Amino acid sequence: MYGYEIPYIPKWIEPWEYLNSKKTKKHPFHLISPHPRHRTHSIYNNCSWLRETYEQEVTINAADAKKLGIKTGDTVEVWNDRGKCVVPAYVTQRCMPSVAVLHEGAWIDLDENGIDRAGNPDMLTLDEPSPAGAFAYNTVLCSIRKTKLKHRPGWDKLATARSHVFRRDL
Amino acid sequence: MSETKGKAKIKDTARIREAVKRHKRETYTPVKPDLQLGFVHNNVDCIGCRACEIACKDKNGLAAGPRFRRVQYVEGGTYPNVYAYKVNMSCNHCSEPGCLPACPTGAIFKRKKDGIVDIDSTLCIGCRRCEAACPFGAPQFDPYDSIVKKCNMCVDEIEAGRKPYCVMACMMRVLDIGPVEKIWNGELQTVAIGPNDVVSRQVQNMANIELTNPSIGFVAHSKGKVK
Repeated sequence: MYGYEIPYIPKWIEPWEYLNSKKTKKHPFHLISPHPRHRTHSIYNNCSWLRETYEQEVTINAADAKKLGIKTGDTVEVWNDRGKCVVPAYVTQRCMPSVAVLHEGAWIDLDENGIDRAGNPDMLTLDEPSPAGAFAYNTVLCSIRKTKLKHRPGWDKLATARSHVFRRDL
Repeated sequence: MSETKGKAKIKDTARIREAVKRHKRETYTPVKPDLQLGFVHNNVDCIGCRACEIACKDKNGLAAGPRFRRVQYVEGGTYPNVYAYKVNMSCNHCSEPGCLPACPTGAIFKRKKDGIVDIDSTLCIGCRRCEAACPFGAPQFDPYDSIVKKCNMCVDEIEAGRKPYCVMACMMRVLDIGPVEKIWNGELQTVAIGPNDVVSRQVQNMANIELTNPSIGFVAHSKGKVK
């Protein structure tokens, strides 16, 4: 939408993808990608301490997860017409229904089919800037399902001793 | 045989309990320290930033893997009645540590002066028996050095009259150390315990304190209290 005229008074412009659009029939989840607290965008993703402290994961609402049969820790694939990535799921009550949260900035790790195993939301975004020229990171519709594809967290989970066991206990 | 089997089973459990008690009495007398230091953590006010974990790893020079201090995120309930709190634990420097009698080389010791449980790294052979004996997961194997390491409450800092790195790194000031008796009866002057807070020894998502008698106090969340 870059280059379109920006209205002189603030008013609603229909985004190309949002939860009220007809595209939700195909891809029902609205994906937002906030800044992770363990990285600065993609910087420090190679720091092993931070990688074992926090995980790249997609946060979904408990009601949605129940419908899809997903539990915390299950590997899921998040996809739309533009791409696909594989991440573990984190199921919580704190997320709005039909919204998925996937933090930006994971380092892309493509497999032979062009699927991102690291879980970077860049795979799902539309490469078109907003009217003001910003990158529209939060205007994405996607689908989620359980998968047998492998997620590559980027560090050896077996070496993480018992620290990972203590991470979350629901 | 089959008739006596049931009876024998009941007899055995009683005898096993007896034998375990005798074994404990005869083989292991816990060190009674002059002063027992312990941690106190406010489960409610902790924001789970994990600065304590990282400060600990920094101080002890640990690579990815062993993690002496662990912040456990607990959340539950269904919308709109949801809750979340954190339980933060490292080594609890127990009164009857499970790791100490499990050590075959005597590398683990409890200090008489302040009750800190520590491992002599020159004696540790890395057999990992203490790892299994601890109900809180405090001793952890370092695959790079092939020995087990654990929290020693930053003894060097304590000797120098300062507080451990995790306590100093806590931005919410919800973590503190002090004489454990004072923590339990609420006499300790610390901002970790609020004016109307009650300190409890046991919270949910934590092993039974009767196992090792840990020196730790918590300000429990309303949903994390144990009746």
